[in-house]
Amino acid sequence: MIKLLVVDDSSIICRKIERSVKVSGLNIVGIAHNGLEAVKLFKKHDPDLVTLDLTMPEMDGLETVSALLAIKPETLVLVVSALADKATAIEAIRRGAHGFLCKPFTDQELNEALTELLESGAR
Amino acid sequence: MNEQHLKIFVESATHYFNHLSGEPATVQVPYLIEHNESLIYDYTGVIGIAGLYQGNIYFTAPEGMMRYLLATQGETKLTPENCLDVVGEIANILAGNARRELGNELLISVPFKMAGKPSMMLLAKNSRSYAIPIQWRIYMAALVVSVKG
Repeated sequence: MIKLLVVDDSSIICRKIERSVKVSGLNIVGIAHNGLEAVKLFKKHDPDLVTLDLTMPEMDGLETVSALLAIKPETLVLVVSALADKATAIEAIRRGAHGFLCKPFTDQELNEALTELLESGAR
Repeated sequence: MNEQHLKIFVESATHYFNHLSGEPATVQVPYLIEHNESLIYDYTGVIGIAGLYQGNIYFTAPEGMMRYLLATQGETKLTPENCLDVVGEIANILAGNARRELGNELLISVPFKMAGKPSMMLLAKNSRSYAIPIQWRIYMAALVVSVKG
C-alpha cells in the first residue's frame, strides 16, 4: 500500500481529494491544513506521496517541500496549487517537487497526475 | 490595472466555472465602482495583493451559489463553514490563476473569508476598483479587483 498525505488549508479541497483518489493501492494516511501540521503528520505516518498546496498559513508550500524532503528525500511530492505562473512551478521543482497540478482540477486530472507521478517514481 | 489586466481576471473566472462544473459562467463587462459603493453578497473571500501590484481582490457570492458549487464538487455538507471555505478557495484560485499572465510579482495572501457585510472597507485606497459581474446558472456573483500597479 502506498501512503498518501494530503496538505491543503481548504477542508473542501482536502475532502475533494479524498473522494477523487481512485488510484489503486493508494491509501490516505493523513490530512494537514498548513506546513507545520504537514511536517508533524509526515513524521508520524511516513508517507510515500504528498499532495501539497502552496498558499497556506503558518508555513507555505515551498518551505514545506524543502522541510519534508529534508526528512525523507525519496518522497514523491505533487504540488496542487492555484499559482499558475511558470516561475512558481520551476521553484517548486527546484526544491524537489515531482509534479504540478493547477487548481481548479477535475477528478480525472488528479488521478492522471498521481498515476504519472507514481509511474515516474517507480522507474 | 488596465483593460488588459482586467481581461486576465475575466478569463480566470470563465475558466474556473467552466473547468470545474462544465457549465460556463457568463462574465459581464467590468465596470468602475466608487469607494463608497458596497458590492457584497452573502459570502466573500478576500485576497491581499502585494509586490509590484498593491491592493486586494475579492470574490463575493450568494449562499445559493456556494451551496450549489459545493454540491457540484461532490460535497454533501452544505454548511455555512463550507460555504466560507469554498468562497475563499475561489478567490485564491482566481487570483492565483491570474499569475499565469501577470507573473509571480503578483504576490497573493492566503484568503480572508467572511459572511455578511464586512466591518471594514474592502476597496484599496488610491486605486481604481472594478467589479466583474459573474452569472453562473441562476446566480449573480462578482469579482472585485481593487489593485494599483
